[in-house]
Formats: sequence, structure tokens, C-alpha cells
Amino acid sequence: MARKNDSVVSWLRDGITRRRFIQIGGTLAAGAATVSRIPFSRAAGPSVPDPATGAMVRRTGCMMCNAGCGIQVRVLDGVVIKVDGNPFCAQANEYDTGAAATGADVTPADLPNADTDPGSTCPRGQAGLMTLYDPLRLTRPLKRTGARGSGQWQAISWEQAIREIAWGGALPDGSFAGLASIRDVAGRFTAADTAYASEAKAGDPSNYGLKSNHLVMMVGRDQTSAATGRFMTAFGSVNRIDHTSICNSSYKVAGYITFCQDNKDKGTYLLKPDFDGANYVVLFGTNPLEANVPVNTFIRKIGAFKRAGGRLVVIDPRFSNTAAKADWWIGGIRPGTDGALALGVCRWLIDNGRHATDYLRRSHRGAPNPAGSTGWTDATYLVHERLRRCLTAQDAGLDHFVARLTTAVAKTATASSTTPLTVQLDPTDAGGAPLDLSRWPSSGNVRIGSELFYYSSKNDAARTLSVTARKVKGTKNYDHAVGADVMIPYVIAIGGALRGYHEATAATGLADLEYRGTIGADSVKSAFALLRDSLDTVANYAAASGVSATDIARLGTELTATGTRACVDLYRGPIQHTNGTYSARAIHLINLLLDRVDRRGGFALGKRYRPGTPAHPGAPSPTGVRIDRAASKYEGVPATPTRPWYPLAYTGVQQEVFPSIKIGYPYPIKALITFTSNPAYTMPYTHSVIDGLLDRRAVPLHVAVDIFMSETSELADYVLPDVTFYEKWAANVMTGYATVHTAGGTIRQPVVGNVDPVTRAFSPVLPGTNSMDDILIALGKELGLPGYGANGMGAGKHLHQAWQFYNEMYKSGDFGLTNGLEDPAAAPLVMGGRRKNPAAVYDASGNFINDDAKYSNIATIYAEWISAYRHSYVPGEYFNGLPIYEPPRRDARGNPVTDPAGLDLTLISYKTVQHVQSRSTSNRWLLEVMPENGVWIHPSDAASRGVADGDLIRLRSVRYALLGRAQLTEGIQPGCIAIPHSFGRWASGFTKAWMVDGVPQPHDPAIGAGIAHNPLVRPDPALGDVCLTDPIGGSADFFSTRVAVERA
Amino acid sequence: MPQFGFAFDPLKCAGCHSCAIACKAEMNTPIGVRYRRVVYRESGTYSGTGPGAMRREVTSVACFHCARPACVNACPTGALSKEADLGVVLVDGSRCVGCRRCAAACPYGAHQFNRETRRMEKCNACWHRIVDTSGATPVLCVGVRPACVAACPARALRFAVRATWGAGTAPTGFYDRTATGPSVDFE
Repeated sequence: MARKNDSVVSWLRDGITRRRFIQIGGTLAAGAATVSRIPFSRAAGPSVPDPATGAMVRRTGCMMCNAGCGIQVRVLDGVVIKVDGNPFCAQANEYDTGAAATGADVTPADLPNADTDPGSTCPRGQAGLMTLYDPLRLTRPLKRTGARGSGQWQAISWEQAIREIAWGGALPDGSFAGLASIRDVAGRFTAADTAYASEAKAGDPSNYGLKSNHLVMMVGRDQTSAATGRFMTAFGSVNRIDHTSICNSSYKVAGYITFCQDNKDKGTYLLKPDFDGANYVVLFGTNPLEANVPVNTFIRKIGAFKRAGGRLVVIDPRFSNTAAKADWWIGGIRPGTDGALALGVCRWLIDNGRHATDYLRRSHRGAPNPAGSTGWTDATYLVHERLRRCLTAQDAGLDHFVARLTTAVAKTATASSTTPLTVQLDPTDAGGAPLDLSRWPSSGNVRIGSELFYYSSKNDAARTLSVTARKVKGTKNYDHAVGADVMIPYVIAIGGALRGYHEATAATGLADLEYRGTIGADSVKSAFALLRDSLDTVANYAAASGVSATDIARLGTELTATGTRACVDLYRGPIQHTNGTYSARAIHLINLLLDRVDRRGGFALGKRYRPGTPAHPGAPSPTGVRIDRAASKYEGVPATPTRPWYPLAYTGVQQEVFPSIKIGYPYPIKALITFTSNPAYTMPYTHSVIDGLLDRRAVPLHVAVDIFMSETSELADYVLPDVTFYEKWAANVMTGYATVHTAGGTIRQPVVGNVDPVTRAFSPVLPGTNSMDDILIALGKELGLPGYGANGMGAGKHLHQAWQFYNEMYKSGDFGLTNGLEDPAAAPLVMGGRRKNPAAVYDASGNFINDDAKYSNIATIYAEWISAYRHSYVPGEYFNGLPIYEPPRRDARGNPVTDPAGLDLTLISYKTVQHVQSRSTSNRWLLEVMPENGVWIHPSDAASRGVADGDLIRLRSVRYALLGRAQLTEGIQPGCIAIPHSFGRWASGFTKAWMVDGVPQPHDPAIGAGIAHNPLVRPDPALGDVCLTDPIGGSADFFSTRVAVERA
Repeated sequence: MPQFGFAFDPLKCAGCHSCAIACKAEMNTPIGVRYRRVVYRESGTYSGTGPGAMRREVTSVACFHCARPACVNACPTGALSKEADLGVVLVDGSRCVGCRRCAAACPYGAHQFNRETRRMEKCNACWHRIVDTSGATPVLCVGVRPACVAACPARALRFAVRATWGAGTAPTGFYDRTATGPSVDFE
């Protein structure tokens, strides 16, 4: 725990009022006036620290949204007086230090005027200091003294808070067990621990894992602490559940599958358009000038793109600020039908022969490359339709590509990139001939039994494969005995003859793009043929999407016009639907058909520098099924589980947490920690979250770590005040986006507060607060968890303070800080990160030259990863490996959702450029720009309801109704209404009277005035207590609720 | 005469308000006192095409340090003046009585009434940032920009010192530039 230093400048003290804060603001103004009148000398240039004022410039990573742009902060006497963009950060600044420096690291000397000539920020970043000095911040640990949600609290010491959370304590309505008694890394679940034992794999409840799984931690913006994973590992729980399913999880899953390199067990998802090189970009349901990440960069890149004559197409029912920059706004898209539109475009491209056949026919890295592509695709891989997977050499009777194991390959032998597993093969192939391994690829995927592995090298004479990574996701266990079949997993046709996928050479020519044949009685088609045969007509896709066949043809024509460097991108609009994964894959397919990956102006990757991971001696191995059943396949005894399982939703299904906890499924929980997570406000269909949080039987202990008394914190038992991102170290700040063409990484480090030079204890701005890192270290030490306290990170490497953790973390990894945080003059700490010089981007053939921006691997049309899985809740249904169009609004049982008559408008939501989900609402500078929200409604829809601009209207969905102000605009599709997030707040920390030790706390009913979207979202009728969910990617449905609107 | 002014590119501007908040941060203005603002103006219809298509113009607006500032003439106390070296219109707070005639005279809403000081304030071109006043004559610093310009992610807002201003097509509804000669180019 940090030692408190009273001499630290503190702008906020207990019991502060808003009026008092304004006075403080006046003081702040005086300081700024002084420093902003530095008479900069032309000759000498400004120096830092400035001798006249002592103002310092410090660089760190912003966290007003999660984009993590570099910022540089002017600090005077320990007070942040101005935030600017960090000019060294490629997200915040466009700079080029010359071709001679290509690929070299940027150094402080490259930007000598950096201190006075900053980069840019978005408005949120610019206003961040008002969150640091927000008078509504929590200042002390709190324990509730009334019922949950009563708003009655007492201030307690940190020592008391840590002690009671660890060892148990008493609350007004009963006592609770502390974390110490919950932790059990030896015992596994038994039938006594769950009412759903039969739904564990093979009916054995021990497959639910360690009893430590009774602890659940829900994290939101976890980029502000790298310590949550370590804590949950030390505790022994798999239930660290992040917020991704309300963000972008189906986008991620679609990306992981489509862009999974052959040697990775998970692909990449963060490809983005290269706006620098593109001249035609189509955006499906994304608004990068306001809400994507990083807005700061997109505004710059899209501005330059437009000024250079680039043409922008925006597909969105709402006329967003991005649509306002579009040359063509396609506002007629029906919410949830982006997949239909994308497949309509694909159909048009194929029908008109506009697809890039030379790229699509490339079946492996070494295949002939007439188009100069960097990657290859699976378009020519043959698919066994009945078996729902790629045809293997064994299926095809290519016996010389089928061998047998002579050593077992079991899960106990962990194969990784650093410890390859040597797989020994039998001397005889499946045909009885001597195994000729020289005919196999020099490296690539191999199927052992039913699973895919990657081998990085082989030894033909010794008949061994060096397996470096397991590939298939979701198969947690593998155990292949001696004699198991080992085979080349993909087969192509060349001139109609079946071959291994690697046998397309200059001599044979490229593989057949469209192959249709049979193996025995079974149909076999190339992935491209399968796709083509599955596509509906352009007219039908037009009818489904609301975008005319003429417009689909126009899109196809413009995408492929001579001289066009096109790219297609998407974000939350298409994916936060029940068909989200399919829709994202359909949109990606356009880029694939047009060979736009790695091309100038096409789809580009980024590279993020990351620090290392401190050693964790004695750490247990958390195991079992998560409370949300994410990334777990249902293998229980009853044919259908009580609630759905999500085998492919690798990033979690946060909306399932509270409905599951409520019924103790698949097992009850005993304690919940929420951290920078406010699901009671941010989750669609918030009611189930609130129900769960209010239920002491379902959630016996809830500890919230937050900077505000949010909608979630106010329902906790203990609320621990976190520090802001200006007062923290962190790792894996989200930098290194594709759009900037260069590898980069931002280091988050405190810009205010003090580090004790001896103990390394950190004193934040508010003496009563502590970072999540320090809170978890204190808890870990109190509980005696492995990896905390003396020698916690190895001999002589103690873990008592956050500083020690990050010091150890930054000593390894990509930042080159061999002395960790010891030397503040080290270039990466001065520059707030590490960046590579972004000079030189494209080669002569128009491909990315920079390995950091290139994907250069296989792009997948037929995803056998998806098709291998069943829908857990719809008997007999498998997921489809192809990008398909499935109508939105399917319930968990697979049935179309219908609404009562009168609910005739579709409710969509969006984010404005001024606000993030829930953490920015009380920022006074942002509120000045946008103090409240309204409901966008088209004048024709308003007129038919007798609604005028500014009228109070009642929005009624199937279960709930809320009031909002009508905002009439032509910028919304008739039939849709739109609500921006961040408003309609009800948390006591913002808007209501709440008490600590009987003293009223600051609040202001005007904060967050307006209407909230999430409480209106309809539940899944098949489950009744959770929003609709994509059964593949796990995304929560945000954009399909039907509402009735009337004047209030 | 060299004249300080702003060049604004409405095609690049994303309407994000970073400039307005940067100004607020730099000048520490109270809530409600907004030297720089971003103006949104919508036209057209959902189903319109061509000139009738849906359109949203965004413009970043502050004091344009006009060639013929109406505010200077309107001020009864001489608190407003057009500075000689760069043509920046400055407020002398000690002479301002808060009568708001400048605000009534200015067609661009530059002048802001500060309820705490009971005086008028407005954009001073970040004089304190960009001008070196340590020598005999004020000198423009190299590599330093007004806060709004530095913050702009779009690079849509730039400043310059030029002989003449007034190029480009003004946004819809922008007050006739021949009246006061605002020092602004639209790109």
C-alpha cells in the first residue's frame, strides 16, 4: 500500500463541493496563465524544465477512450495544467524523420521542439484533466451501511477494507466470507457445489475446474492495470471476464478466423484501411471520426484522404459525422443486414468477373504469384460438405501425404514457439510405401487425429516434424496415441486432379478455383465453389438489406474501377447483432475477393510494442469453465444445456454473467470484483445486471474499484477509490494501429503524484485513493498469494508496490528499457513510448514494404473452425464455415424475434466524439460542448406521431419505457431512432444525494441529463433475462430493439 | 501590413471540438465562456440527392481579428484595440466595463462575457504563446502554435501572418466578409 505523503499537492479533499471546485479552478487558471506566458525565445528555444516557472512536460498514454494515444502533459507544481498530443506518438502526430532513418527508432533528438510543438488530441483527451480533478471522484474506501443501493456509506481505512475483503466481515444484512475462504486451488467442483453437475463435460462437475472459480472479476478498461490477470491467476480463477462482448467481440472472432496465420492459434483482428494510400473506402456501420479507435488518428488520416480527392462511402442508418464527410451516404441500410449488402456486392463482383482470381488461386506461400500478392487464400481448398471441414489427404486417398505417429502427442507436452515438440513418424505411409517426407511442405499445417498443428521445420531423413504451435481453438485437450494418423490437411485440384495444397508450382500452374466433384457419395467443392453456390441473388440481397440492386452494382463498379485503390472496413454497426460474426466475415470477403490485404490503400496491419511479463513463481494453473461459458464447448449429459454455451466466443460473453450468477449456472459464485466496469449502465438490457447485483444470495460479496460512484459501484458492498490514468503505470496501451504504418508502443506512467525514492510507494493526487495495481498487491499480500510480497517476482524481486511490478515488466519486452523504470532519462520514458520511424511504406508493386504493416499469410473463406461447432442451444444446428447472410434478431433458440404491434421503430445507439461510454459524463469541459442528449427521429416519423422538435417523448420497448427529448433531423433513416450513449445517468455519484457517515456527497442532477439507451434494449425472448446475443462471437445485440414512440 | 489570421479547411474538419476544448484549457475560461466554438449547420433531406442531399457543414469559429473590426469602434471605453504588429484584436481588461456593445457589434460571436469578472473576453490569438515580447518589438516564435491549432487532429485549422485574407468559399450563413474583413481563409 502506498505511503501517504501529505506534502503532495492535492486539489481535492474530502467533502469538497462543486462550488469549492470552481474556486480551485480559479487557482488553476492562475497557474496556467503564468506558464502559458513563457516568453519563448527564438534563439534558445524553450527548455524543460522551464527555469522561469518550473513547468515540466511529461509523456504518457491517454485513457479517456481506449485508443491509448500518446499525450504530453504540462505539469506545474504537481498540477496538470494542459494536456496535448505527444508529438512522438504516430497516432497523435504525422512526422517523418527522413528516408535515411527508415525502420530506425525515433529518438528525442528527432523532434527538438517537441515540448512546445505538440501533437493533436481528440476533445476527450484534451479535456482529460477535468476528469483528474473532477470533484465527483471517490476519495476514500467506502463500506455500505444500508441495504445495497441505499446510498448509505461509511468511510473506512484501507487496512480495514483489505482485511475484511480478505478475511470476511459483517454488513448490515449479514456477514460474508472473505476471499481467503473462497480460494481453493486444490479442490475441484463436486456435485455438492452445483445444481448443474450433469451439464459439465461427461456429467463430471470436476470439469468445471478449481473451486477458486468462485471468484469473478469483471474488468472494463483493463488497459489501466496490467495486474488483474496476475491476481486472478494467483487466486486460481478463470473468471476474469472483460467487457469485449459489449464492444466488438464478434468483430474480433471474425478477424481471428479470417486472418489466422498458419502458425498462430489465434489470428489478428485489427486490420484497418490504409487511408494514406487508398482513394476509395467503404465503411460499414462505423464512425471513425467520432467513435472508432483511434479517433485522433482517423480524423487526421481521413481529412488528408479527403483533401487528396479520396472518395468515402458510409453505410449507416444515421448521418454521423463520418457520413457527413462521405461522397455517398447509404442511409437506407436496415439495421442488422450489412451481411446481406456485403454478400450482394460479392455476388455482383463474381458475376461480373471482378474477383482477383490470381490471388484467390494461390494456395500456399510458394505458389506462383502472377499478381504479386503478399498472401494466399483457401479459395481452392476442397471442402467435404458432409463432414463440414476441409478435405484431407486421407479423405482424398493421397496416401503419400498420410503418415502415422510413433510417439504420442499429448497435452502434457506443451508445444510452443520456444519449445517445439518433435513428432516422430512411422517409416511407412498410409499406402504401405516408404514415407517420403521430402514431398511434404517444408513447413505448414498438419492434421494429427482430428486437430490441426503447425510444424515449422521437418527432417526428411529422420522423418520428424517440429511442431511449434497448436492451432485449433477450443480444443483444450489433445492426446494422440502412437499410430494416430498424421496428414496434410488441405487438398486442391489442379486441372481436375487432386493434389496436396502445396503442390501448385510454376510447372503445374495455380489450383482450380471452382472444383465440384465427389468422394464416394459425398459432395466435394473448392471453398470458392462452395461460396459461389451458397450466394443468393443480388436482388434478394437488395431486398433484405434495403439497399437497391442498382446501388449494389454501383458499389461493385466503383470498387473495381480502373485506378481504384479500395478498402472496405466495418466496426460495431454490423457486428453487435445476432448475426455479427457472419456479417463481419461477409464484409471482410469483399477485401479478399479484391486482393486488398497488404496492398497500398488496402487492408493493413499494425504492430504494437509490448512489455514483458514478470515471473510468477508458484502460480497455480486456473482451469475449468467460465461463468459465461465462453470458449467452452458444451459436452454435458442433457442434450441441451440450461443456458447457452459459447465455444467460439474467445473474448467472453459479459452479458451472460449476471443472468448466470442469478441461477448459479453453471455453478454459484461467492464474490465479485468489478473494475473500471459499469455494466449496470453499459450493458444492453441493464435490468438483469441490476437484478443480479441487488441479490445478496447470488452475489454474496461485491467489491467495486472505480473513480466514481457509478451505477455499478452504488450497488456494491465495498467501493475502493482507484486513481486516474494520469497517476498510473500500465502496459499494453492500445497503440500500433494499422492506420499509422509503423510499429509503436506507448508507456503509461504517472505524470502527477510522487514515488517514494526508497520504498517506491506511490502517492497519488488524492491521498485517499490507490491504484488497482496497489489494491491487488495489498490483497495478494494479505491473502498470501503466490507471486506477491518478498521475492514475489523471483529471488530478490519483491512485489510490494506497483512501481516494482512495472519496473520488472518493462525490463523485458519490446521497449529496450534494460534498467526498467530506474532511469527516467531513458529515451522510451522521455518519449512516452517507443516508435519506429514511419518513412517508406510501399514497394514498387504497391505492397506494404514494412513487415510491421503486413499480414502476408492465408486469408480464410471457409472457416472449418466455425463449422466444427454446434449451436449449443439449437439442437442439430451447426455453425456455417462460410460468410453467410442470416437475418438479425434470432433468439437463443434460433427463432425470429417478434414484437407486439405498435413497436414500429428500430432503436439504434451511437457514441459522440465528446464522450465515451460512462466515464466521461461528468467532465465539465465535455459537458459544456454537449450537456445532454436527445432522440434522433426523422420528421416524417415525428409528424405521424404529433411530435415536434424538443418535445418530451416516451420510448416504449417490449418491457420498459423511458422519456427523452425528440430531436428532429433528416439525418436518420425513417423507421429508425437513435440515442447517443453517456447520458441518462442515474448513478448516485453523479445525480443523486448519497451519504458518507451521514454527510451528503457532491452530486448534480444536471449531469448526464437525457435518456439512456441500454435499459430500453429488449431481452432475448427465449431466455427472458439477457439481451440477444451472437451465438458465435458472443456480441450483445445493441441495434435491433423495436420501440413505440409517443408524446409524453 | 502583416495580419494574423486563421486558415480553415472545412473538408478536413471533423467537427470534433478539440480546438474549442484546447482553447478552454489554455485560457482557463469558466464554463459558458467559449472563445472558440464549432458550429454545425445541417441542410438537405434524407432522400435528397445532388444539391438537396443531406449535408452537415462544420466550422470552427473564434475571433477573426478583422481588418476593420466592428467591435473596436463599438467599444465606448477604448478597451479594444487592433495591435499594430500582427493586427491582433486585444481586450484591455482594465478598461472594459462589461457593457457588451462589442458582442452586439461582432457578427461572429467572438466576444464572451465572463460572469465572474463582469468583463468581456475573447481570443487573443494565443499572444502569450506565439509572440516573443522580450525584445524591442514583438516577434513571432518559431514552432509554436495557438492552442486550438496545435490540438486539431484534422490539421484543418492553421494560423498564418499574411498581407491579405478572405480567400475561399465561406460556409453557408457566414456573415458577409466585406463588412469587417475577417482574417480567415476557407480552403
